[in-house]
Amino acid sequence: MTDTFALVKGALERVSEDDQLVEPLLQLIPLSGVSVATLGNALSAETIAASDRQIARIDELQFDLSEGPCWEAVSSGRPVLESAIQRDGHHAWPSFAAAIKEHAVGAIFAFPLRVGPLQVGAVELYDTSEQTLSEQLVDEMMSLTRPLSRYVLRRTVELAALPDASQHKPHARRRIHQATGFVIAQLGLSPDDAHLFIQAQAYAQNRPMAEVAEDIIELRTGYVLDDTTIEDVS
Amino acid sequence: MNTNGRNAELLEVFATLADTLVDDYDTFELLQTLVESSVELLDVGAAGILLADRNDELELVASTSEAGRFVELIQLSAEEGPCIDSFHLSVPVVVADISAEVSRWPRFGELAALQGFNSVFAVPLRLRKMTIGTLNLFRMASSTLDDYEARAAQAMADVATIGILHERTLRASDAAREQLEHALQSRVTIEQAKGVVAFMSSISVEDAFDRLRQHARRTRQPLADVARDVVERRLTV
Repeated sequence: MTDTFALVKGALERVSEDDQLVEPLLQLIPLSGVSVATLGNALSAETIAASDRQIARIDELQFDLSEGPCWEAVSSGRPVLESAIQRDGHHAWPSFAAAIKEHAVGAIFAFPLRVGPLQVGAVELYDTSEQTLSEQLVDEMMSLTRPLSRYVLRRTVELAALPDASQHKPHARRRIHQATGFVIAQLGLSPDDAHLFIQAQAYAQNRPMAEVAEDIIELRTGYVLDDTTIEDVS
Repeated sequence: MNTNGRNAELLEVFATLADTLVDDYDTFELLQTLVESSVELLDVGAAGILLADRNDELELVASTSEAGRFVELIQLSAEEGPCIDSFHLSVPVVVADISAEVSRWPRFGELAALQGFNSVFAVPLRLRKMTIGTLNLFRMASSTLDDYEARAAQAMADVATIGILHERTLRASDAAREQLEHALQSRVTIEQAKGVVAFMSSISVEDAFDRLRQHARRTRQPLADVARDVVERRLTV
């Protein structure tokens, strides 16, 4: 672990405002720009922090086209590393590949933000020229996606003012707390994060929290961690 | 049971409770002892203690059965039923024959019948002018509480009140309200811990509760502390 990494990780764990996201990321990987966006099957696509207009535009193109590296990253749970984006053939996202040709962009790197099976968003870096990322930097960036995912989920749930357990009847509340325990054990989250996770899951599925909680307790829905991503086993 | 036998038993229970209150004690274990003793002493099938949260909604904090259907029944009685009436009026409510009250509390009546309960007694947890919750007793037979039982039930409810609010002085907080919040928050952690243990050990949440209690007893720690260690993943029980 490099010293820079430790500093950046510390900074990201303390983030309380969207604006504080980009600087530490660029400190770790000093490329032309970085963005953090909500994205995926759970949350609406929106850039919440961007270091410059170019990266915001790259995000926007992908939102409009519903394809591109950040979509691929969040749906696969793996980093998407495009060291020479203008040269390589991109069968997975032809429209985006065509659109990016008009931009002075040489490389794009997208990292998934997920909490459990919940797709939360992506971190995207770009550079004006072609670039490669060392394996170590990719690993470090992937480990930063955990605190980042939590931050993004938390602020989204707060902004959307989603109903939490306290807005349920006592019996349902009790079951939600028990389900929270299941998620703590399954995903290794803190109690607060596990509760957020159930809230967001309910929001994404457009179902009451109490119903999602019952599914979790009855093991109709379960979550497992593998070493890089977390998968829904239901 | 003759009166002497009952007196001796009651004395035993209160001696145990008094001992508990003298030392640094575990509120949840105290409440648990109370509901379990009330079953033995008052010839009831099941018992539970409800506490009011800041919105005056009653939440179950201790019960003789953690089984989902009993928990549901008692929570229901806190929405429509004798427990909420007792809480609001701050008086004991005795329902000797639940089936006679079906029109008043249709859902409660139906659930109670399904579980074989025919009478129910709710006793307020009171401190001066403040009512903080209720002790609720469910009996299989259709009957009322005799004077002796009614007094014993109120005494147990009073011990519960003291047990919950006395902890306040130990924790040097200045409001009874805060103490209640603390008890309710601890109960949240206990529910979460039940979930953790149930999942980790592939057992029911009811069995998980027993396991947590056993661990707390064995290691002489408050149940709430054990629960906190479990949800923070410092402890596996």
